[in-house]
Amino acid sequence: MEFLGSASGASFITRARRRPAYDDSKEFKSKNLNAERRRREKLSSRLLTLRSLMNKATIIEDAISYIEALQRDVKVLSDQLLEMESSSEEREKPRIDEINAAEEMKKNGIEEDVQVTKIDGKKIWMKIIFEKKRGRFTKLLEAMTYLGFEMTDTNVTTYKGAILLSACVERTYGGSLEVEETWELILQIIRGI
Amino acid sequence: MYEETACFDPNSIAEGAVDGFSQSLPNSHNNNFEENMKLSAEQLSYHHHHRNNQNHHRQEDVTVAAMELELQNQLSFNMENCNNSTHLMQQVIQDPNQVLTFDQSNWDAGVHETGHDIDFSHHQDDQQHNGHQSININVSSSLSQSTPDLLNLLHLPRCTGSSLLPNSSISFANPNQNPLGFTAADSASVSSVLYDPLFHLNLPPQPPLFRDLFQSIPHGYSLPASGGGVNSLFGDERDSNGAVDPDGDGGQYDNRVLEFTREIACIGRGRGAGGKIKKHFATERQRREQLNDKFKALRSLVPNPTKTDRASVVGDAIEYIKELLRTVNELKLLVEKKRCGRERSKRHKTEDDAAGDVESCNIKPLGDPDQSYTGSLRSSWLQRKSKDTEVDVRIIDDEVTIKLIQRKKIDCLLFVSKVLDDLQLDLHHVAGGHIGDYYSFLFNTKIYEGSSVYAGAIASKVIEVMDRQYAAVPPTMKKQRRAKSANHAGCQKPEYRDYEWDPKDGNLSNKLCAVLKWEAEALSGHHHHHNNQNPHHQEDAVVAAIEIKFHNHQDQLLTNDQSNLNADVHRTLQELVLIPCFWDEKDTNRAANQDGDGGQFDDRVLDFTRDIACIGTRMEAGGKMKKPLATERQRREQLKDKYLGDVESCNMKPLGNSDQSSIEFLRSSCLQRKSKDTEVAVRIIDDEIHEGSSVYASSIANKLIETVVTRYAIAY
Repeated sequence: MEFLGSASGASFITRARRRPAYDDSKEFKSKNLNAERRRREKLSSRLLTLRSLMNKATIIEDAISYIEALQRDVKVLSDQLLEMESSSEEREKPRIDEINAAEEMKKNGIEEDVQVTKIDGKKIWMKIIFEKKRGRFTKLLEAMTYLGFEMTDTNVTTYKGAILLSACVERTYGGSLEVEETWELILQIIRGI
Repeated sequence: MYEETACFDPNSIAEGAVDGFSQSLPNSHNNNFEENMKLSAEQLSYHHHHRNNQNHHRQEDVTVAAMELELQNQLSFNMENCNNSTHLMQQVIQDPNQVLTFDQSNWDAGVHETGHDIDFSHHQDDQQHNGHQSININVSSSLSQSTPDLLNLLHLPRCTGSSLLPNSSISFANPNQNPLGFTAADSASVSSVLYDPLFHLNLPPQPPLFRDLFQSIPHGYSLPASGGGVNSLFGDERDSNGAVDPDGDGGQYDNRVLEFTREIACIGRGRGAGGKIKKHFATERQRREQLNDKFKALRSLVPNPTKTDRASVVGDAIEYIKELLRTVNELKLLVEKKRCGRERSKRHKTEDDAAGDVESCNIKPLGDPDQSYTGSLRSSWLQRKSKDTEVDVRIIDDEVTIKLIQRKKIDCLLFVSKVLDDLQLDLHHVAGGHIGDYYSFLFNTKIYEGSSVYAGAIASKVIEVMDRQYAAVPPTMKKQRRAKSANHAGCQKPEYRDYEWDPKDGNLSNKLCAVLKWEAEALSGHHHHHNNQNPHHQEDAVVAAIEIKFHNHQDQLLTNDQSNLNADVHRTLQELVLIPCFWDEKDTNRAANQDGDGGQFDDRVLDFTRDIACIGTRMEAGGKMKKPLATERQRREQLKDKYLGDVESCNMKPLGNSDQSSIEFLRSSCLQRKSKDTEVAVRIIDDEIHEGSSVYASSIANKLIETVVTRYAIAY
């Protein structure tokens, strides 16, 4: 490292010297830089040596104490955060740039939709598009579970204020599914939540 | 004759001495030193040859020790000349007396005592050499008649101050050798100074001698001439010497001297394995045990320790430390943001008062720390495992990606969705399903503005929820309804049948209506569920909702009653072919009377509400106060409404540029590209890419867009 430092430092100096116009300030800087660089490299190489000297026990001990210190830090910070959160809750109104989901949807020509197809006696596949609102998805899931539907292989995606949900649906405890019925049910759910 | 000539390079000594005792050694003695040094070198080589024949084990040590001794002698000589009255000198003076007494007594004991005198840490074991003893014997016997200087030599092997040299003179193995007629100065500082001279011994006047000496030292114990391990040791000694020059107190020297001692002793031990005594073995075992304990302690600190072998413990520790550092950074960032946000809102208020609408608009862009002007993204990554669940949480900026893998079959979508709601994360994408034995899901979410969740919180909450679900799922379905009337006071289980709501029944829409109605009522707060006498309202019957209220403190172990209650309820519900999907657990210790205030909200943020399909009846558990489910939901609705509806602006953040920032331990980068009909968002955190590949976010995005566009063009 030292060698590198001095080499590059030397080159730097020579470079500087080649341009007499900047000579003064550049030389000052380069000398300083050199010294600085050498000093820094000296320090880092010594630290490395120091670290290499440590024996196993010390390393482990240090690791243990470091981990504990970090854990304490995490705790302190998270407590702090919680406290800030709870104290500032009333005051702070989250500034939200809301885009009215419904408007977005309309703008982009997306409509609410439910499609249901039968796969076999026990499975149906459904695809739902509905407007995105906070907590709505959870309610949908709740309703589905209430009604004894289980969604296997679910995919949800969001775009421009609409949620597209496609899933395979089965009866949680077995049993057959009727397409029409399910379709209407789901429609009602969507309207209801 | 010996005393006077057995000295090392006076120059070096002077130098070292000057370093160590700047006051003590006048320069006038330099010349003397030089001569003495030369002579002592000769002596050393002489003695060395002697020793060569007799004790091969300790050669290297001997040589070194010899040198040291000689140096010491010289120094002591000088010191005496100078009438130095440093504490070191006093020590020197004192010590001979000690030595004398020790020698005359049972010298075994003496050795032990002196050994204990030495104030080392765990490296003391090494000092208890047999050779130690032998040295003492020889030295003492041979020197007892000699001058006080020789007695100083005796002092070498033990004393408190001069840790190192005594130890090295342990290796001074050969009992039969005539002791060097050295004067031993033997104080810590002296000994440490000695190493300086040793280096300097490499000077031109001396080289041949020392090269001989050095060469005679076998194995890796290479000395300054040849470089190597000892070199560094010596070097360290020297450096430290230099470092501690001014104060000249023995303390600093001791430490470094100790270091050196240890090394020498190690080497000595390595060579002289045959000479170890059992006592040694004991202390070594102790050391090994201590080390093992430390490994165990380390393992206990790490969250998910898998294997017990040392390498993986250390590996886990490394990962954990990195993770902790990430978390700390993340938290710091969040706290900062919060603080700035608060200040900004304060500013907003004052400004608004003053100036009105125009002002408030202008404030925002100015000092907004939430925007990453610095160009660095908040990134964080965490993994947590529990018995059946694995969670991987990655955060870039305000987007959170949660990967969830679990074993058992439960409806995780719903529960996780609830967790996300609680944590104020807006769900964007979900994908997943059944694969092999596992259920795997990937959630892409965005953090609502103003929320300050961090990766650790998310991960632990999700795991907690999942584990609770596992606990909740009863193992078997039993057909009988057991009534534990003690617990279910007012429950009236048989009544379930009246409200049985069998999804197998044809009439789905009725059920749906029922459910929705119940929800509506809950929201409107019409449900009053404090009726013990008549748990079954007619509305309830229609709705067929069982509301089971029982209280369960999170931290408490479930009492028998309550756990039975749980199990019973579960069983019953299953009997009715109802799927548990909504189960509210409120902490009884919080005043259950409280109603939807901020405090409760916090608790709920911390708790997770387990869901069970609830229909209907109120139950009193232990006569505790209950909180109506309705108000619970109501409260939640209120709180949700606080956030003014949908925060989400289906946005693809107009990033446009790749923000690649190496944050600490993660490569994190986040990028979006749009084309006429296509949009692509690419997020990279650290190791999601194969090693060796150097793909980067924008290349991925560009390729994808290109492919899609081409396809699109082809299709049309």
